[in-house]
Amino acid sequence: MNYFTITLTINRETMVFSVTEEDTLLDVIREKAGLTGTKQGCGCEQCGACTVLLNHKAVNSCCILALQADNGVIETIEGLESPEKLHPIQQAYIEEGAVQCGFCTPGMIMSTKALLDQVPNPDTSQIRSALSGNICRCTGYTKIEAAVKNAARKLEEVSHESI
Amino acid sequence: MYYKPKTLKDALSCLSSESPVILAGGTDLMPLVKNDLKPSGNYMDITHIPDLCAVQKTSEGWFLGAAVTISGLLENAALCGTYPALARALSVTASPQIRNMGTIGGNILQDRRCLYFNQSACWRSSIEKCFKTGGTLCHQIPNSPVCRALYYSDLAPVLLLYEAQARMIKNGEKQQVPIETFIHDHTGRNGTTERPDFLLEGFFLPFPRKGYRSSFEKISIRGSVDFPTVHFAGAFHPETRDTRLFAGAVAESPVELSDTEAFIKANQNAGLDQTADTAVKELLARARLIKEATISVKVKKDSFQNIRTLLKTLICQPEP
Repeated sequence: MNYFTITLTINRETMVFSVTEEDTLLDVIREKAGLTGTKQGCGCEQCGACTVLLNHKAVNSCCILALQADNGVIETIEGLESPEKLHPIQQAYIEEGAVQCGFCTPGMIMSTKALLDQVPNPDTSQIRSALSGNICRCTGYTKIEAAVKNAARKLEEVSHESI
Repeated sequence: MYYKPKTLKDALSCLSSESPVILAGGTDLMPLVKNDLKPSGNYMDITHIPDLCAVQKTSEGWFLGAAVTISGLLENAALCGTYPALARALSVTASPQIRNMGTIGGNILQDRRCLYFNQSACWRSSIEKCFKTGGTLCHQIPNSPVCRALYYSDLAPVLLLYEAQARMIKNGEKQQVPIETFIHDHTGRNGTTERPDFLLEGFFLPFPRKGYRSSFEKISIRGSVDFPTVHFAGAFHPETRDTRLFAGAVAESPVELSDTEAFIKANQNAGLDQTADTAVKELLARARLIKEATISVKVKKDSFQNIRTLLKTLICQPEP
């Protein structure tokens, strides 16, 4: 086993880690950066619970080697909220009752963020397609779909306010 | 070790001296590594080699570098406009997360899958080794002389449809081989423990033949979560009635429905029902099904009826 030094910008903060060739990005996020909001579900890219944004794209961090992400920009669920208030996407998930056991929620929200960053006002088909790599065993998806639409409205209001 | 060559020359040198496992997106490789089905800890990351990350249009067609991600290809509107069946296949390959990391080279060179192979080392410790793990039997079909694991690549039937050429470097020499040969060699080798002895540069797709419609249809139980139940790629010329039809996820490599192609060409007045029946019968005869984790053989056979959707798109499409 060898050790390598990698640099990751996680939630706007540049961090340096010592990793092996077997550490995954999820290992680094949870165990070295201490950001345990990102979950390990299946561990084999099927459930999407470990979804984070790598260079602004949704990826399954459980099956990416930390070395593959070297010099990458990472966004996790912790990067969305400020100490004062939740991110509009998080708020929308709560308002719509889209969180039940909550295990899939960080991944769902990061996939939602990846979608809304690219498509601010998505239709139902775009929402379903964007979240198709995330499994929820509680909600039945209807409320999650409503939460994404609610989040899109909230983000639109925020962008109007900031103008 | 983890090697990150920046040039083809460095990559070839590393391959010959260190024998690393080639890593691109890792979406197929990593679950196999986690199940002790591939060696871990000695990788060569090829995603920093510009030649392998290129998408280039030439006077004769398009070159798609082996390490270009599936979402990277999907974002290329000119490419997707030129090859509609490829665009459709790219858009329904796996999940958004996997498309963002997985590459076209990795999709074609993915491991064939089997209920007795894609399991943890602990699970597999209770059964004999099969062809894919160094043994001499197939648990699915005990009297089979070869591994019968299925090949699920969504992009393979489409590259066959567009008559792609695979470009690779083998024994220090650049080679270009028809995609049929490349896939046949890969799927054959993949039923053993033999490792590939080449570096894939990418695929060259000649421009589609003029006047042909092409399309792709995929059926899966739970959308992007599951591997395909079955998928079809086809091209059809409305005037000459020349047709190409491929089905995948039904055998060790994609199957061409040549009898149905001949039927369509010879029977101008055949209706959609008769054509679809012919295709389903041929598919049932040519498929080499095995037990799968998420679907019974009966349901899988029933799903072949969906070739009708592809045929309808190709043959019954009104003239613009």
